[in-house]
Amino acid sequence: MNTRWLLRLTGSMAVSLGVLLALAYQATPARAEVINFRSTLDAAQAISTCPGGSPATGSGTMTYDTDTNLLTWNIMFSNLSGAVTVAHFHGPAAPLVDAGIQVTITDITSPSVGSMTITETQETQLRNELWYTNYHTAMCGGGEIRGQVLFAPVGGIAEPPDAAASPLKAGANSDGNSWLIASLAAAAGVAVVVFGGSVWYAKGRSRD
Amino acid sequence: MNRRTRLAFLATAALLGAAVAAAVFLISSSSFGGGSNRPSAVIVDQLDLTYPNPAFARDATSVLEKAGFEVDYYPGEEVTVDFYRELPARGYDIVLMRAHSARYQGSWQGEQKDLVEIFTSEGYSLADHAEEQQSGRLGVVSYFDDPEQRQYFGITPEFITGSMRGDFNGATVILMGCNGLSTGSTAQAFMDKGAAAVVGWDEAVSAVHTDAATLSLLRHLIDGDLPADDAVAAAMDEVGPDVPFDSTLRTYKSAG
Repeated sequence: MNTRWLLRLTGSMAVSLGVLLALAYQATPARAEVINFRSTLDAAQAISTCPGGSPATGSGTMTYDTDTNLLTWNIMFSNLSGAVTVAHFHGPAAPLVDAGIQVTITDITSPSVGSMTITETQETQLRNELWYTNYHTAMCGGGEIRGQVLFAPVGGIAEPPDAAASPLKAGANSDGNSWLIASLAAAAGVAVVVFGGSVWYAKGRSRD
Repeated sequence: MNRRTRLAFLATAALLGAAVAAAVFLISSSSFGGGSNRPSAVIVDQLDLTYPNPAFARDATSVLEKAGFEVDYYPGEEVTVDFYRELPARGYDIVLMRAHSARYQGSWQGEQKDLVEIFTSEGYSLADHAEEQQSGRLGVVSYFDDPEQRQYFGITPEFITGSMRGDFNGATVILMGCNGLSTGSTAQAFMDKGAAAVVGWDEAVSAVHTDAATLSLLRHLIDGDLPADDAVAAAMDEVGPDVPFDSTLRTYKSAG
């Protein structure tokens, strides 16, 4: 009796362990891919909807998870003529071409942070860099600033360590565009960066 | 206890022992690091801080481990100046540098330079590593997308040759960031430090594309057992250049 019980126990333990080990070996997490995008917003890209121009600028980062189809964003902006009335992702459209609304950005104070599940068609448009972010104001109801949503390069800006002390440095960024950093009023910590025709203002470059 | 009972006990013990041994083997084979003579690889995931892609680290690790490699993974926050300083001495056979990099062309302390800085995640300070800043081994880097324009230390080719300890000893170094091979100075520095092959992009590249191309490269390099040149060509046939940036993965050809 005891022997049979022990043999049954042995058998069931072996089967259970085998199943557990097989599951442990086979189990692999889902293969999600995360795609990173960026968007640099300015009035030059919104010339069709804000012909009078604007000093406003913005920049944003977006990630898209191919497993969950979730698009998340974090977009900062400043110097708009007034409060944002509405904001959207639009597409499909090449730069300077207008298109319909794809996703509404509900958090319209800077930084705009949010997420939305998108469709496969929208994913294809996004992957083809055919979306743009667009912030609307009372002055420019069709959009005061906008920025094409582009793949994020794994580059950046490189400088010598004494860059801030030099009055002028010139070189090339990793986009291959010409760039210029002029340390204007170094004491005030204001720099102007020109990227292929787009002007970025950066205040208070920290050296912490 | 009769004979059948003893046999049953022995069978139970043998099965449990085998199960424990199998579990230990599975656990050890799926974890990073180790101290054997197996080939080893490292994923330096500085990009993890800005463009995280856990699937890449997982898939690259899987490809490498299936081929018998031990794999170490360093997340972005651990990628400091001192981390890079010690990297060659760790003796890896494959070094995956999943890190931002940026090209600088211009005046550098009175000299014209054309070089690539590889990002660390260590915040820049005038006071830290002062000697290496003065000797051109460390520069300043920042991200395009950072509205606060925070600055970090970037390592230069002079850092690779002058400040890194040890030797890459025949390792293959894969520069996954932008412009790794836009100028030869960074790749040549790795070669001078003992690397057998250096692979990188000739222009800017997106995170999604460098991840896909590097995985393809690893499969051809390891599963296909191809030399670096052929593996890069096969990866480019499979994945293609990064069209928005007109960038191609290449193998560095040493001038010397």
